[in-house]
Amino acid sequence: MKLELSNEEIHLLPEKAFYWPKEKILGLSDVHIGKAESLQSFGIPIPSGPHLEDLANLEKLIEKTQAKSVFVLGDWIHQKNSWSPNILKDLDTFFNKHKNLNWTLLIGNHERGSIEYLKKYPFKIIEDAYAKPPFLFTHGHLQARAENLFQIQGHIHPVIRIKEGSTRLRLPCFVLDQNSLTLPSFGSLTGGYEVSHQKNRRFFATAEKTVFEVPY
Amino acid sequence: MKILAPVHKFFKNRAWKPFPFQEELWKAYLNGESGLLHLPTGSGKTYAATMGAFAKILSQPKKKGLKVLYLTPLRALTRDLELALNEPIVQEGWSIKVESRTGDTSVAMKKKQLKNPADLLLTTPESLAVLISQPDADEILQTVDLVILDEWHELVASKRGSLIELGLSYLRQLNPELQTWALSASIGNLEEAAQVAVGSTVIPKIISGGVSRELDLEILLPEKIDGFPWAGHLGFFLKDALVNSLDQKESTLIFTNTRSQAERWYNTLAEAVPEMEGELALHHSSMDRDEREAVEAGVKSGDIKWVVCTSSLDLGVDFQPVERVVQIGSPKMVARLLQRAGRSAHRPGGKSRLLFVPTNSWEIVELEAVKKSLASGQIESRRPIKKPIDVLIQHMTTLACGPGFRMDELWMSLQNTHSFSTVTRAELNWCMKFLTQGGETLKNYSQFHKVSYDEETGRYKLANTRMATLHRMSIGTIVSRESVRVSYTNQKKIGSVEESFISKLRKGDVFQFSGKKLELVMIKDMHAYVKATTRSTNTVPSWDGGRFSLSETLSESFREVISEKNHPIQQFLGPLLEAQRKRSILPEKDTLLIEKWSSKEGEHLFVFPFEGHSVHEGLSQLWAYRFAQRKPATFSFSISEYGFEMMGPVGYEYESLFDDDFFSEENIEAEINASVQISSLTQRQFREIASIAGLVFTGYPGSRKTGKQMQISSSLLYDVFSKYEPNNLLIKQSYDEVLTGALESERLKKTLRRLSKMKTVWKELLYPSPLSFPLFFSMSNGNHLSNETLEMKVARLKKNVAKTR
Repeated sequence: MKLELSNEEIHLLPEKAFYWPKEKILGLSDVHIGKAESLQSFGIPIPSGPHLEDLANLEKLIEKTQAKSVFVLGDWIHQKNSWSPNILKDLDTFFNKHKNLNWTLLIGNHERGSIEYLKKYPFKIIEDAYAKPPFLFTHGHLQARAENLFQIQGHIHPVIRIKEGSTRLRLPCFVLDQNSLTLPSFGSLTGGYEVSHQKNRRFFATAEKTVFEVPY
Repeated sequence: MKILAPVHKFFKNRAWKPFPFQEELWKAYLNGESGLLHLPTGSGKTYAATMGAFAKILSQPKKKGLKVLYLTPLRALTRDLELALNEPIVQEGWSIKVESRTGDTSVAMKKKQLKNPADLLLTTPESLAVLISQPDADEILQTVDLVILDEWHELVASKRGSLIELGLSYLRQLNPELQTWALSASIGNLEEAAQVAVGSTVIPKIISGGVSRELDLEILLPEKIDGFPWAGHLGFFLKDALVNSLDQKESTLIFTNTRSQAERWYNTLAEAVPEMEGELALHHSSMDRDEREAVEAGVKSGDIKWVVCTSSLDLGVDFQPVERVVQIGSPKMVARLLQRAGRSAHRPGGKSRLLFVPTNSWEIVELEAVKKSLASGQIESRRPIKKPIDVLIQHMTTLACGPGFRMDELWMSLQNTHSFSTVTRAELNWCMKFLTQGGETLKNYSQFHKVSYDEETGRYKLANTRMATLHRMSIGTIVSRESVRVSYTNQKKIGSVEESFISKLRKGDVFQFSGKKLELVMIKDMHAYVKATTRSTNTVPSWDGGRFSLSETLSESFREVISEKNHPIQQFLGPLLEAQRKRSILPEKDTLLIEKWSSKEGEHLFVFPFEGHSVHEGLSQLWAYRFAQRKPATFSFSISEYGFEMMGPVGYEYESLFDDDFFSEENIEAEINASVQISSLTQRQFREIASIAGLVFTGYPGSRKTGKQMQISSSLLYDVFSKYEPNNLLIKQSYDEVLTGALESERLKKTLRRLSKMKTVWKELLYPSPLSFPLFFSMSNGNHLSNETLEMKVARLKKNVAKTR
């Protein structure tokens, strides 16, 4: 699904990421790597593995888009208890393979305690918002605002409930407002927050291999 | 027996004579026996259960410690029981101490109870489990030699029953001589219920006593026959007739089947009879507890005359003033109707009066079926749940909180239970690994710790005290779906609703809840703030409670009733049955009726096995699978207590695809499993299991103290487990519970055998018949299931989105 935002072409991808072809930037948010491991540390016996699926999805997406840069808009890592040996090992393997790309990470609310760990990876780490006109990239938990810039953010894991006849679906979605785009969460082990409708707000639902606009 | 002298003296002082069943139970207890007391009405059961133990306590004045545990399903009951038990103690000056220990008991009192235990402790299954989780549980509980299980018929077929079984297995490990007495109303499988109570190594003694209370069963019918609807479940067309038949001076309980229905009926009655204000009340389980208790007190004192209620008042304190009971809609079970009827005239020799209000014409037939079952003494069985792994895991965690447990001891104690004796070594080891390592493969759970092994003592204990605190808060098997609390802006609590309901409302919207009209002010942190309003509304919350299916007993009687020629209320049934005959046929007992009807939406197939909602749900999935195997298509379904509807694409020819293989039992589990519908049912079921097994922490009641990191939805857990650990026993359990519980697979197989011997009659319809109309009606209301995959749904959605543009 192609959109024109501030005169720039932006592709909304069913893999729950966006692509900015002119700059060859792939953007995504809220991967929450190591959420399973973090839950394990709280005594919830959930299997490890979701992060491998997320990393594999990201790898496929890099190949598919031929991106040169990847922007992660925060919450790459779930929590400081997420740094288990298997996570460290799998991230090493992943970044060894993809160190030639430009990696940028905006620190999200979940990874405040993980900055030291994150420095080991080829990320350019940014603790607040990042302006690349005409866009302002932010995680979305702080009230970052810049005049005249269109904001792209994550943080809330938007989902939309669709009701059509007897069909009920709850799908991750992009939320487009007058002056901002909110991304769905990229990670497979993340919940969702139902975003309510507002004036001039548009919803683009993701489902398996497609993105489609849900009219209100 | 000389030892009973003080008890006989008490009865004599009261000028009472013990009932034979009371004497029989006292003697059996004093002889060291265990068993079950079956009392249709319940009067006299408390003294029957306890006086033997009191006599024994009085005969051994030096013996210290807790001796009797009295378990009741409701904490409200413990207060009344405490009063009743203290009467003889005070009157006779016996030195016996009786106390209650429930979720309401203060922390200080609970501590005192551990230091200086009473002789008899009244408690609930959940509070017993919390007691077992105490560090010095074995010291307090090892002196217990009698456990009384009150209202056992209500507990035996539930996971609460399983929790009690495991609690008893621990008590028996501490004291192998432990005796158990269960108290039960009439159920179809008393022997089995007794065996579950006493454990597998003891032969239970069954004592029956008392006589059934007389039952006066009336049906409310409108003055004119026409206009009685074929479908529906509210029954408002009988509003005036009901108001006319009720007595404003007479204490009356008005039962409905759902909370939404109770809200609507309360509102309807309040408007129809404004002079009853203050004497009319509403009672259901989602209302705030203080308010519910105020209503209960009002009924007891006689200040409140009419209460619209749900199963929330099936059980509970004796309401002496209640003279009459109204049942709106099908009771679905003979036993439930009896239970509710028994809430009136709650005194020896009293006559129960029940007025049945049918909400559609077919329910008149249901009442006839109830009468038929009653006349032949048919009543439903309540089957215990077979080894629920989630409850076992919860119990193991409970034991690990306390003194810790040894695997060999746990294994031995399970052998003595009825429902867990078939747990295999492999299953128990799986549970152990799940608790200690997180699962079968250690490498997958690098961070996990919950229960750890203490090499010195050979015991399994919780990894840290924080885990124990969290566990104690989540003990229990009742999982609520209601996550949003509702209160006034001044914080006064009103009750709780489901998130899916409140999330549809916007600020300023009005809804009716707890009998009040409320305007939504704001939602914050899973808490909805509202203010009172006078604006009218039609919006009432719906709650996704357990659905009851028409019981096997009642279904069978129903089939007999409709094939009979002459009915006692022929004038009302006549027109309905005649319309069915005219538009289709009225199936005889040996006929399976299948109706076909074409509409512009597609081809409708209506099938009438008359076997209850759950069997029809499974059967519709099975047949859809079998049709689709012969000719691929997508079907929508609509299910009722009498049959099911499937709708396929225009031109789909069911009859030519149909053959005897549709009645085959072969592969039915695999074929049902292949349907999309079962995976969504399984996922829903997993929610309860994950919560009971301690995988999702439902939180401190009414607070948001849980760390965000710990919150994960059960549906995500379900996905992860099914993907990465398909052999997980809890996933398997969800599937088994859906199959045996929600879809009643054993009953489904029986039904297939029954249908295969019947004559199948296909009828082409011009218009929906009285039988098919309710199915068609609920399907067109959007209330149906479908077997489409996500991909198919999305494709259709996109197409329709394009159309609306």
